[in-house]
Amino acid sequence: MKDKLKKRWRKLIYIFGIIGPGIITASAGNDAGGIATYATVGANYGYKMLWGLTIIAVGLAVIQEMNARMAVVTGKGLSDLIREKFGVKLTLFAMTILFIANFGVVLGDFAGVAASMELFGVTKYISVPLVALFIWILVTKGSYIKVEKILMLFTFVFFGYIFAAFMVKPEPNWGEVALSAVTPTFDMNTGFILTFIGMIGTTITPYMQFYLQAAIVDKKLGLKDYKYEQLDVYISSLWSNVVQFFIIVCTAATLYVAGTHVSSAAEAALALKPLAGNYAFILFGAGLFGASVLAAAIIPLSTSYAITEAFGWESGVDYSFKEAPAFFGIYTFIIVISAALVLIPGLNLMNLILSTQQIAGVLTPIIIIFMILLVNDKRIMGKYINNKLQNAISSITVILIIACTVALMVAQFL
Amino acid sequence: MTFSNNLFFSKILHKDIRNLDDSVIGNLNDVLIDSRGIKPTLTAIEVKSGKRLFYINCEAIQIYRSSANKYYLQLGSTQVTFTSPPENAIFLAKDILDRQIIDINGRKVERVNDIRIGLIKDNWAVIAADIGLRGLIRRLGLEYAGIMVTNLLHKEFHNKLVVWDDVQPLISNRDNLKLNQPYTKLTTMHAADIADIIEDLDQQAQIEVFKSLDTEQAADVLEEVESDVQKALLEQLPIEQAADVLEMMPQDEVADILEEITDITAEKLLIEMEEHISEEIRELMEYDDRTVGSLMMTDMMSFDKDENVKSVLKQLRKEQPEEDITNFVYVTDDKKLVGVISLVDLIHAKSNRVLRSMMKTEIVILRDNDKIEEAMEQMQKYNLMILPVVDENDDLIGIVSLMDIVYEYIRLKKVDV
Repeated sequence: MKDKLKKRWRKLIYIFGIIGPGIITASAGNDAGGIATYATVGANYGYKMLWGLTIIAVGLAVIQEMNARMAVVTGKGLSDLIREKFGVKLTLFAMTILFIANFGVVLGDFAGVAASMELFGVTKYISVPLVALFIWILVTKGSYIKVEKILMLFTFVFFGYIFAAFMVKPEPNWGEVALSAVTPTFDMNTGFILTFIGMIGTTITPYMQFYLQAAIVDKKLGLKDYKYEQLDVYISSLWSNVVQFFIIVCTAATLYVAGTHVSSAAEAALALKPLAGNYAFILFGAGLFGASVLAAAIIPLSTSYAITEAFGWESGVDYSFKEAPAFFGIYTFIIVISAALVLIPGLNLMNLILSTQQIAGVLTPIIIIFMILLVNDKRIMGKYINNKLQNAISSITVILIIACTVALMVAQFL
Repeated sequence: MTFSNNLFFSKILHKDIRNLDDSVIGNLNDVLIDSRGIKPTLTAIEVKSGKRLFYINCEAIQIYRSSANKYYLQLGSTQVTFTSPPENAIFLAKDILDRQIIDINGRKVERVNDIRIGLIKDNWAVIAADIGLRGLIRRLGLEYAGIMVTNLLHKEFHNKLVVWDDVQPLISNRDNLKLNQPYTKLTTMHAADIADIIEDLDQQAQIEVFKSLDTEQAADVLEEVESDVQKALLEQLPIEQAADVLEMMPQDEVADILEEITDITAEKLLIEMEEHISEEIRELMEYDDRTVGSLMMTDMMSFDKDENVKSVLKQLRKEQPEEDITNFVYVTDDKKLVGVISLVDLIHAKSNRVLRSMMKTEIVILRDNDKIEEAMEQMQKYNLMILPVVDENDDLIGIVSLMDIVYEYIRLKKVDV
């Protein structure tokens, strides 16, 4: 009996082991950039952009499933596959895109660290250098894994938005919410389009595709684990979209109704007041801090891995700086420079966070195009290439983002 | 314009192919190779003309370099063209360039940035893999800029080449194509090095390389790789082959590995193994992780109390057990442990002496359910590297070494953290 229990327990642990990469990726996706962007979407535009979130939610699920499938079929990371199919020149192009987008996101996350600690009265000139040093040492000493779980606990704060949405007085008009989620509306002005692109960029960030695929490969999951992993990515992208949905509803029902535009973390925190009252600042600050540190640790590291693997350079925290100069160089550069930029006096942190997500949004389709070409290559995927529906959805996502970027350029001249 | 007989593949990839009358018939899309020899030979080129692909045998082709250091290919008078490549054909660009190889000499997995090809006895052959930065820069078309920069710094811009004799390509990942890609070059490497390399490879390459090892080498390698790789390998290997490999390994290690993998696979493997081995492994697997029983060796040297020195030494010579388990021989009376004799005493003793008359009867023993911390204490207290293990009937069931205890102790500490 005891044995049987033990066995069942082990099986359960096994399945949980498989279901994991998606959840972590999704949690890290709701980082400082994410929270700030969704809060702005709700506060500035009410429910107007909810339809966009619905489309991206489907796009995200399909794209992440492509990552999971490529990982279990090939056992290789996304940057390896790009290098092997597209050669050196296009790999350099893809890696440059990834680097710029990731650098921006890390910049946004250090701004998130600064903004969250300012809620507690700590100046950015103390918090940012300390956190940067902490992250750098943590990862180079290889003790990152232990801290990852603690940081993830912090991000559970954002589930609070789900409860807050039901505690808002006056209650959100749920009928209107539901209708907005399926009715496309679009304002042809730069503010709207930029925010919309930022929302896409923060939901389907380029780094997520690399990180998720690498995480599944690292777990040594094969085709036999595919059905669980598929479940993992579907559940976790749905879950993260639910959180995002309620952040928008919450901020729309409180800030948009009151006419408050989000220009600081303190204002964004107001949306949690129905849940936490005067503790909203503490709750929001802790969540923002945890999410920012988590992403600021993961993203430079995954960027280093992706780039060094693509070019065949030594990579891994087990090496010394001398043995793997590119790996540690990229990692250190991203952390040091982005932390330093946040320290420039007089910056509006909120605007900085938002614009980094917009950059990521403009660059995202390039990475997805690489992915679509890879996942449809029979030489690589065999019979596991995309079906027509998957191709249609991923292509529509790409076209939507490109269309927004074009619209943005056009709107500049209107 | 000079005739070229030694160059980097990237210099001609996607370059023009000219007919006798200098008209361009297409560009070089890829090259087919025959990889059976130590150095693969180039057999045919894949020409892309518009959207059409066709193939021309390599004998008909000459490579020229213009004064501006540009390369192009020219066809000779007689040429054989065909429209579809042979099945299972291996391509230089699609299968080797930009992919990973094993550098046998450097004992590392590397990525191929460029490929050096050359004319050997009228045949084009693959000479070396370029794994250096200069190869990458060349692929970007910036080689001369790179040379200028390094000249300014008064340094040389070196190529980093691995001669093909030391290159083990990793060709896999093809739909339904079972390539006959022997990993023969690996057999000269030490098991620990192969293990390091396997850990660096992606899952498919891991399994293919591992499959190609002979059973004995595979067992040594499996012992050396990290436990997550062990798990992945065993779960993907055909059951019969996996069972054969496990039979060659120390049983306590096999028990450890089998506890890590899924129950179904472990059970299949145990059924496939020879019965006397699998039974002993099953017994080991019953023990808790932290007990002496889980890491004891069951193939110890034990003899009946009535045997004499001569017959014992004869058996030792015949079986040639490993050094670390022969320092002591254990004396039993119908399975019960009754005494111990050191190898040195055994050698000094007269050959007709009976074991029971010379054995030491005050023995330090461990019980199979003892915790490993207790084993460490006992070993430290009595200064012993090896202790016998008995079960609740005082039957001798194994021995345990300090090495294994320490190894397990450290491992458990890590897990606890």
